[in-house]
Amino acid sequence: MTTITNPIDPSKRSALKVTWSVWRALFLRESSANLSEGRIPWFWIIFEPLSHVLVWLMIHAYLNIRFVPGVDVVTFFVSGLLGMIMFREVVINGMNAVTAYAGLLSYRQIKPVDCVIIRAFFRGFVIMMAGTIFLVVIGSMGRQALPNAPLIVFLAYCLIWAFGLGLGLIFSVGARFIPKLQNIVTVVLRIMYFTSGAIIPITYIPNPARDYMMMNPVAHGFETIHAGFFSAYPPAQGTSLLYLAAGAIIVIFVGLFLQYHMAHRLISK
Amino acid sequence: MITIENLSKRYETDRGYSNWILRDINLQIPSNVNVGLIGKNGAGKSTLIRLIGGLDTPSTGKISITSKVSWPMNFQGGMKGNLTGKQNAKFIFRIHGVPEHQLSEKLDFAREYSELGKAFDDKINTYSSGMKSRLNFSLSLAFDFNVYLADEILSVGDAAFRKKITNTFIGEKRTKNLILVSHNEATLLQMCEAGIYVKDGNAIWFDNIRDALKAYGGAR
Repeated sequence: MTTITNPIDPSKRSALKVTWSVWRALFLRESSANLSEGRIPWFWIIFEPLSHVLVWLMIHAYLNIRFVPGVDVVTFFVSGLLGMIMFREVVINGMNAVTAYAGLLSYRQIKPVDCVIIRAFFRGFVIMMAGTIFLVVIGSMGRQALPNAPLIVFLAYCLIWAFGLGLGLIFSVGARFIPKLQNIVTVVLRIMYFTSGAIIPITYIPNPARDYMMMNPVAHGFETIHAGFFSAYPPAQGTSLLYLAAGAIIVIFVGLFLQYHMAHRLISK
Repeated sequence: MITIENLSKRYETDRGYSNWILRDINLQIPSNVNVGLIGKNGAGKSTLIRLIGGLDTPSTGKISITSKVSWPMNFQGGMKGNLTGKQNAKFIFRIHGVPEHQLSEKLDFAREYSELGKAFDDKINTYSSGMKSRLNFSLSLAFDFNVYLADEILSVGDAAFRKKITNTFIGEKRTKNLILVSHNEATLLQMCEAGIYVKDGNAIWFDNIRDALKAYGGAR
């Protein structure tokens, strides 16, 4: 039906090279747009997760709950909350990427899918920096900073990120056609904040609620992360990284499918 | 050379397909003339420019391009307001695959040609529309495109800058050519040799811009 043979680039770069230079340029641009305005953005990167951690520590201290024995509460909250904030930021920024970058789509090298991927990557990168700082501080306070199974924990964070990226890819297309979707996603994310096991250990939730909570792939990620940090933490029955990985692969492929077939609608408005 | 064969375009909207914006267009645009694109508002000039620039895909038909074509230059997009002119310039050079060691050379060219001076390091949202168009033009001229797509962008530059652009795009030995959307008759007569008149989904080619303007004027 349609063929455009368009030898646009001076040197006729390959498709992979074009994509790589777009990703690189977008990442550098995203960094300078988000981090170059003085000290405030840097402060916020640390302060936002810190405020969450402090609030939960206060609730915990005030209610005087007996926590899981052998588990460091501070490390528990830090590892869970940073992951949760990453997940939320990746989904929301991915979802808004196409509208935020609308002007850039006047360069034919840039496709909507590039915008979503790079925004998600940038958010993940920023949280990773914040997480490193947090763990260093915790460690210097004499608390447990390193997981018992570092590779499993790292893999679980990566899979949570990938799951968020897939949702971002889907919602960025969805938000184009259903503008209200953004509000719905925000509400659902707020529910997930409490029910994904990032803060509240799922093991101690009675059935049938626990079974419902474990239908959420992200919950499997956080149970794995907490079990990977503390050998004393018993993950909820049925915890499986494979479940999260399968979820991530499915949403990424659905997202890419939608991006591929709807890209022209996203560009043309 | 840009060859357009049986090109039709309509948009998919939320309520089904739009009307045909362009219908069965056949055009051959040679690469050694400047072409003025004229027609009423909403006639489909910008759509045609976007199709040639590769931003949209035709609904049916085919566009084949054997020369290097710039991005469509207009006011709407491409520049982020809270970044400086220089940061935006870097971004555009990078997505076009300019290696890091050639960046400063290209940046110098853009700074010189646009005559922005110190404002090059100011944020884009402090720029006037004339300054934005100067920057956009200078960036595209840093590349060796054969055909430059200019959508209304020339109308805001001041006289001195327009003269500079004119000198780049006029003359026997030039290697760069324009496809120019404009409503300004004087600009069109000064810059363009040929014309395309877009009307009711058709695009009519005129070897002489005067005839195109006459046809357009008659229709008005």
